[in-house]
Amino acid sequence: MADVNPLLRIENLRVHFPLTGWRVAARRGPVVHAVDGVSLTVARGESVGLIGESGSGKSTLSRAVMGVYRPTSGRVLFDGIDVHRAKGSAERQIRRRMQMVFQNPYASVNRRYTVTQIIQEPMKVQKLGDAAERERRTRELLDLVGLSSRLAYRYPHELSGGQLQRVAIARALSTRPDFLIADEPTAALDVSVRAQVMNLLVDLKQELNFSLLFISHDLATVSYIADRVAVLYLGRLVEVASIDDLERDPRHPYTEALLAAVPRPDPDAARLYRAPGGEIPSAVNPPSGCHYHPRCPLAEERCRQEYPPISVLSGNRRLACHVRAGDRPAPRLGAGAGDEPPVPYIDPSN
Amino acid sequence: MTGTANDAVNGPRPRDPGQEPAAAEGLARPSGLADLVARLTSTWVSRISLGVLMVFLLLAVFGPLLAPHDPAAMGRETLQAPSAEYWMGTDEFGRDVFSRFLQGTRISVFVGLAAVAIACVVGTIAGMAAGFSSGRIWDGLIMRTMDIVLAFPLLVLVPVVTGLLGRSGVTLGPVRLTAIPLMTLAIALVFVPIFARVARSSVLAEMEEEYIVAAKTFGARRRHILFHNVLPNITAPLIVQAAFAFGGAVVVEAAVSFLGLGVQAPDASWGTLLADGRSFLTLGCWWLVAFPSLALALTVLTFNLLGDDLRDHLDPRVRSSVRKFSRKELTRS
Repeated sequence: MADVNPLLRIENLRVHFPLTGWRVAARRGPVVHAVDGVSLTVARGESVGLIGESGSGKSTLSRAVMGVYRPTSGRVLFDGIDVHRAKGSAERQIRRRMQMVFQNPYASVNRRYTVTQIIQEPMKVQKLGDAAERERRTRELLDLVGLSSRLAYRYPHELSGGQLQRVAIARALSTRPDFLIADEPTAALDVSVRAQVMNLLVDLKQELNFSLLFISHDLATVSYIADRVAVLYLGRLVEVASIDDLERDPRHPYTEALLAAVPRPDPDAARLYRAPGGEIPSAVNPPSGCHYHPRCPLAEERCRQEYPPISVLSGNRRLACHVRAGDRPAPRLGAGAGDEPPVPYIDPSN
Repeated sequence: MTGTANDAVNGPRPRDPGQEPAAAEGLARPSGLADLVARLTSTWVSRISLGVLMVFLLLAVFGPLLAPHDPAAMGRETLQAPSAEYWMGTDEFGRDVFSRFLQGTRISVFVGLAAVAIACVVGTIAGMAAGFSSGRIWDGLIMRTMDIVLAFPLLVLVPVVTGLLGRSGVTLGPVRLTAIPLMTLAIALVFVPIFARVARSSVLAEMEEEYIVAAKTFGARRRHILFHNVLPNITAPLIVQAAFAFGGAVVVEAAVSFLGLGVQAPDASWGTLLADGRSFLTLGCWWLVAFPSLALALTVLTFNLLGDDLRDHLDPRVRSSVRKFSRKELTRS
């Protein structure tokens, strides 16, 4: 079911940041491998979740896809157009059709602008419509995201985080995009309003049918909205699978650990998964071989030597793991019962 | 989200005390300027300093019209102490010191204002250009030029310019610059680096903000980012700096004129009044020196207080320190 003509195609994208300020020295100096060879597609109307912990390169990837960061190598094709090379009308098209919602609404809007000015800024920059038309569109958008038009002339500091994130969503939708990146849009919000914002996104996606790349560090949030999930670890994708496959049968030890971190409303479920020990390693000097091996309970000798190749498994899953690549599907309790809790992974070293 | 939670984060709002934001939802927000004036008149110190500022401005504009005597007219009553007839006494030529003082106020205040205005505009443009091209050749070129200007002591650069060029004046196309405009330009030059540095560092700080990234994602051009996103956010520290710089500019003008290298007779400024009166101090003629000195001290004090006040009310880094802190806490994912 590989999509021949996906809306977004990320091809072997690398984004490295030199640590030294001098450009000449940068070629040899230490480099942060923020994104290190990521390939991913998003089909039309699909919503893909991207998860990973802090420092895994989620935000760098999203900014590179939006064309804010230049890739070190690789490319990003949006509907066949190279995002970083587009000029003129192609670039205008991309800017209109791709939009982004950021993590912290207070930081991602200009604090000197009113709600109306914030929502209209993309339309103004792209010269869409005349003033009256933009005004009408603003009311429409406020209504769409469930905000009273009485808030139209408020300033950001006069709104709550949830309200302002709705404004940011309205801004992103103002140009009628068909692709939206949401970079942890609920992480900075109060727990009480997270669900509201998530519901809003789900509803909007259904209504407007845009494609979505939803970024989060929380698998529970992603599973709420995503059809497919990509797991990012230290700048590389370790596993890509549909959300059902991933939750039922996580293959990569890191995915298992992330699943273990999701609290389950079942007091009897034993917490047998092991959370990954320690911190995410440095992206300046990533570990040799598989980047996950220092934290991986399954690590073997070859994991320390070489980075595992990406293997394509049934159901169009992709996995980068030496140990699990040849595995048959993990044994299940009562095979076929999709609602069973995932099979606990038992540490072989015990 | 309830209004009380908002208020706890953003601090009290002076415009609608005791009013729930929910109730005020339909009301028009007070304009930025009205809001600022309300804030600036909220304490006695700021009210007094605003009052003194207004008095000086009014004296500068209308002062010479109020002068009871011709400031240049000499009389027989020389070196008279202040009286009902001569409010600030008379000088050694029998001229009315009060009338001379009003004339001097106009020149001192206008030179200060013009110098700061020029410095602010030029410095801001230079600083923004440097900040926006941070790390590239323009940045280095502009800021090193500013360092060179800063390296000259204030009281050497201005007198040299006015002393060398002031007597004959300089002709720039159709404009003929005499001593006073030249001195204004020289003082402006000295203050340009201060504004350039503030503008540059503010631009650098703003460019790191996420709303700039957001603007880039929807295709904003450099010019839009610089003038519509960055500039409105860096005006506050620049206005604060302008208030401090005005006090400094007035003092520099007075010092240069005191040395005899600035304003020339028959014009007067606070500096020349001090210079003229200084030799008669030993004769007990305190009034010649007292009033210009007082005016100078009061100006500097007023503008420093005003600058502090503006900083408290305008500079988002001070004003929203509470909000900034909680934002930092939240973004830690």
